[in-house]
Amino acid sequence: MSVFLKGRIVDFLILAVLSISTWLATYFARKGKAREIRPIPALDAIYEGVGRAAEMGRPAFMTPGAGDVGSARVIAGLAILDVMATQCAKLDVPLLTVFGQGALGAAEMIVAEAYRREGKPELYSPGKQVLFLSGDQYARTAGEAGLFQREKPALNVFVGDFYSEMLYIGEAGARVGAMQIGGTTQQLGIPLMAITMDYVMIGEEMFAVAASITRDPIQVGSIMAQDIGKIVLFSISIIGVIAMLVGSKIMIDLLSM
Amino acid sequence: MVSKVLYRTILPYVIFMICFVPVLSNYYFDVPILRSVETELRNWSTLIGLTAMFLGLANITIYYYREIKRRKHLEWQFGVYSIALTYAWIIYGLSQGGLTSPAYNEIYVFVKGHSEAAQIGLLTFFFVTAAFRTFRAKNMQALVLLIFAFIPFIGVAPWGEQIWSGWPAFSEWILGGITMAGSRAILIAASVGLVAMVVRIVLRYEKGGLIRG
Repeated sequence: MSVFLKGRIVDFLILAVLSISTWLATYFARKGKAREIRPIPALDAIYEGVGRAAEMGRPAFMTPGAGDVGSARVIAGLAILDVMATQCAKLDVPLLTVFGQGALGAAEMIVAEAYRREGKPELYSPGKQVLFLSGDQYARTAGEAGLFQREKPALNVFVGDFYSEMLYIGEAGARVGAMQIGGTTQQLGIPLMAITMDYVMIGEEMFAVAASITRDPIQVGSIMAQDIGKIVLFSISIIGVIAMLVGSKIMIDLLSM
Repeated sequence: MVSKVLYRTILPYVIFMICFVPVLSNYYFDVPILRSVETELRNWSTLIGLTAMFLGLANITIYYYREIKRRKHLEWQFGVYSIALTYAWIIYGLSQGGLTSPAYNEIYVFVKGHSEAAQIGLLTFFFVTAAFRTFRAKNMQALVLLIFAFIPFIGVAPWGEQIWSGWPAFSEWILGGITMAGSRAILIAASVGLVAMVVRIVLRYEKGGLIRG
């Protein structure tokens, strides 16, 4: 009797390959063998956007959508919030954020810490900058649209969990002339972001925030591991397609082990 | 300094690993003890969630009570509304037997349903202007997007078939072939990125604000 649950062996092997390649890539990166990674324009644009907000004397806005800290997309959003809050604190730009109830505490901690780190804790207003509008998708959307009309942010960043509401929020932001940056892995959200945003992080780009911003060799090494994982998975896909074309179901049988 | 590191970094990481390892292992392995540990952890999670809900209720009551008392900001009116509505729902729900009461459920559905319809109605104006923005071909990429949006658009319209009999099949081929291939490639790459980020968190390589503590 197998100790594995049915259909989970290949899942486990893929996780093992990714974990080992992450460890190996970071090991080599520590020895100074990290490769350069391409810049992500949407991330670089965050700095430009905060600078723009400082010049215009308007606030910057960020939200990771509806999810809580259980969602990896929201964790990626929190990493971006950290970068944005630090930059806003440096340039004295008021930062407004809207979070779901599950990530509110973490967001408050990150924003307060960023202001404290920059030596400006007095600029952080608890309860006024990290906001909870509603747990309901469209009530939150309406609240954000209203917030844009009142506060007129110069920069809007949407990185996290977004669905059909993205079109409305993006449009509300575009109406007030904000520079807009988006990022999600939700298939429904990506095209809506492409329509309404100036910069879009598609798919896994949003998970590479720390590596792209800090250029830390260990972080960059883990991105190399990510590429190894992609090569493995796309090779499996190509072999599967060829096998199916010649009438063999070997890959389907293997993947369902 | 030591206690700060202990409470904000080491302790949360230890708790995370204690919860993470059995839950992850239970996904892959058929071991009864892992299953019971995972169930136990999930029960704890529910209990923590319920405790947090009570704390949240106490928190908003105190917050709005202070706002109403001071009447410094205009939000105090929303505070009256929030507190009155929250406690009215709780008292009515408890007196009627909660979710087992059809009247309680119906009031909830009708109030929420109508409120949502009103909100979406307000946002419809944004939808119209967004549609206009979508169908402006500002550059070559936008033109390609526009063309590929129009093909399935006409393909699913009843009169699409009247223009050309092969239109629905062509539209289906675009959606099921080209679009699906592209979206699956994004999905696979995103999933790999997600797993890599989790591995970074577990190995403590991730340097986002949440991880820094």
